[in-house]
Amino acid sequence: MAQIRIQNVTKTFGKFDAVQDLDLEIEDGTFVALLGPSGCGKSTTMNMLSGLLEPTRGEILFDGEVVNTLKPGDRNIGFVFQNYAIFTHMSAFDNIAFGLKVRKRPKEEIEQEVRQVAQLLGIEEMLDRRTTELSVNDLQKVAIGRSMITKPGIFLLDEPFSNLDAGFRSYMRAELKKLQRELEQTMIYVTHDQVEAMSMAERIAIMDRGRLQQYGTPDEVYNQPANRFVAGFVGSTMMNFLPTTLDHTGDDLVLTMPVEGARPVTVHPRSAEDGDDAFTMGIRPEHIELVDPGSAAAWLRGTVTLIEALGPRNIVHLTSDRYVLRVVVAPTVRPRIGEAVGLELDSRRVHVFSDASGKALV
Amino acid sequence: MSRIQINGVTKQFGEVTALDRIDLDIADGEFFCVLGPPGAGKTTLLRTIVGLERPEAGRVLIGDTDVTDLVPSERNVSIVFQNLALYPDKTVYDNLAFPLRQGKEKVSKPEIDRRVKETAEVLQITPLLKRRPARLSGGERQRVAIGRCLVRAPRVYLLDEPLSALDALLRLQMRAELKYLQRELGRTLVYVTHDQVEAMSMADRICVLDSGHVQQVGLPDDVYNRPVNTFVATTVGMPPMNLVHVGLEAENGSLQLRAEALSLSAPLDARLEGVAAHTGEQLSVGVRPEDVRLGADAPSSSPRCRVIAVEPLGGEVIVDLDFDGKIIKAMTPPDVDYRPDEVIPVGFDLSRIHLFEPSGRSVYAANGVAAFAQAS
Repeated sequence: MAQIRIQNVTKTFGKFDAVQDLDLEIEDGTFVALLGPSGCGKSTTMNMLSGLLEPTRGEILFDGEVVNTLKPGDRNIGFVFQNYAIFTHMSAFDNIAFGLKVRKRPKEEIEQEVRQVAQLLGIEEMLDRRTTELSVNDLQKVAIGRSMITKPGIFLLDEPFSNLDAGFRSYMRAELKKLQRELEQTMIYVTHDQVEAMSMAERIAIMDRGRLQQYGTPDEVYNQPANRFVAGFVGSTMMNFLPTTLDHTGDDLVLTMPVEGARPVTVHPRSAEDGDDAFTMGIRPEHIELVDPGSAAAWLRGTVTLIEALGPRNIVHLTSDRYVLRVVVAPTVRPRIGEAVGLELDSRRVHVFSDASGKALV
Repeated sequence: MSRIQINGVTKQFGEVTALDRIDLDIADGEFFCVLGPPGAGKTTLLRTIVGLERPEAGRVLIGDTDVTDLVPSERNVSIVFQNLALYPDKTVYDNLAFPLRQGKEKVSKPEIDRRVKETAEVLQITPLLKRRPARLSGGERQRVAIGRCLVRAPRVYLLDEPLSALDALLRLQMRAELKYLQRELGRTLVYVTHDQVEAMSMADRICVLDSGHVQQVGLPDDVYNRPVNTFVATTVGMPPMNLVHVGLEAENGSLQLRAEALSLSAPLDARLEGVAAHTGEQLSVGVRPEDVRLGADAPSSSPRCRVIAVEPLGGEVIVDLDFDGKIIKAMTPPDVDYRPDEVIPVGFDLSRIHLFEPSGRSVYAANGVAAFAQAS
């Protein structure tokens, strides 16, 4: 168990800042996801935590102690990588036991701890098998078990599920979350998959182009994205964005979109304007409802261009004037392609971003 | 015409049968997805259509032509590979022009120029034509690879997991773009993927493949709502369909399904004859996460289960529950507030359940009408 502080850390490769001025505090025993697209700096951050890279500037502290130059082996961390590094000539048992054997623990203790870890992971029956006889799914469990067994203070996972099939991934998400809660271990999970981050992590650090964009709970990053990048990155169907102008009426803001037939929307700002004059409004596809195109409640009207039937929900794509919008509807709602529809939005769910800074005002 | 017919195709690699007597009939202009886990035989199937693999048995027809004995260049098909295979030393323009310069048909220089520019326009990569692949983003590279496939105007497009190397967000955008594009071009497209969301969202029809065998071919609605077996049921839909083992007994003209935390009964009628044939066996009840009802939404006599984990996804919440010692998943609206270790009533929407026999074959799907009721 350990508390982590990343203070003003920058990592430069040549002229390129892979990570810029990163400040992050990770409480002891929390499950944190580092989320972002490829090239955002999440893996560089992970590598600085693990000791494979040294920060160019700034400090990394574990439990108040600076670890910048400490070797990976001296940091008391456990790793699980995307390409689980398993010893193929050993049994599952020997792979899991490896860390304890190296530490020369007594045989009975090793036996007991391996069984315990295997039980937590549901692989007790596979312990005697050689790893070549195991499925990809079980191999990943062995890899997790091998890292867990030394009870590292910090557990680092770098996209560990990306080679697994989707069904098993969804099962492992719940398993890992349960495991982390039982072990009360500080866990840092790197992923580009917002579903994984949202579903497992207590807090999510979202990065883009080397910079931290937001650090918050899944609820915060989903419902109160700090900027347009976060708003677009989090959510299983991307947020709709439209240009808008702002007018003040008392404490409220009136949004007017340059879309033919659009009704203005009134919202309450949560932060002051930053002197910008160009803005974008955002609304999630699940916060729009399809209504009759003639309905007085319709905020916009559009024409259906595409329907993605995903099973539990349908995504309706439509065009309104020059813009493409997406709406999430129940599986029973199936408008025809080419059909005219009205859109009603929940104005409490509307976001507004400054175009210059990307910062959220609403 | 670019209908594709695959008749009794078997492909073996040594001892391994990669494709086992595959029959498929893909309609002209159809967006056809082949969905399955790694090792299912998806790529082999695609390579057999394109002509990179020669089947041991069976025939492949494109249009009305038997192409089984033709080399790839004679088949007039284009393929996009998973790893894109762009030429790193060539500009985007030259990458796009390459198939035209190297193809069997002689294409004049002005014609090449016209087709490259037209394709770039469709894919919105015109500003990138002078760049080399190293200076492109993942999504841009993807479009170039697809462009290289489009530029030849072949009869059939074949795509092998073209989006799997992309970030989740880009994948999401490319999905809709690909579907638009295919509809606009109106040509047959065969798309191989292990991602059920891609298959569900883009395909006109889906073929679910496993271990070289076709499990089911149908509309997205068919494979989702009427899966023929547990493999299809758990491959399509995310999180996968929950399966709960139950014993089947017949008593006084009614059928009873019993597990520790579940007890259902139905009067035995004609619709359930196929189920009744399995009396005394252990069946699986299948229920999708969105059809699991929790807390106040569950019927009053529902069993109570411990919450293992709560996964907030923004638009919805997945609740993981301990059901008879096994994890089942429920998908609920985001406004619930369940906590780990809380014990809550858990019910199934009985008008949406499935029953599978021990071999995995579906023997019953409620399809909106509940035959079974909670036993008191």
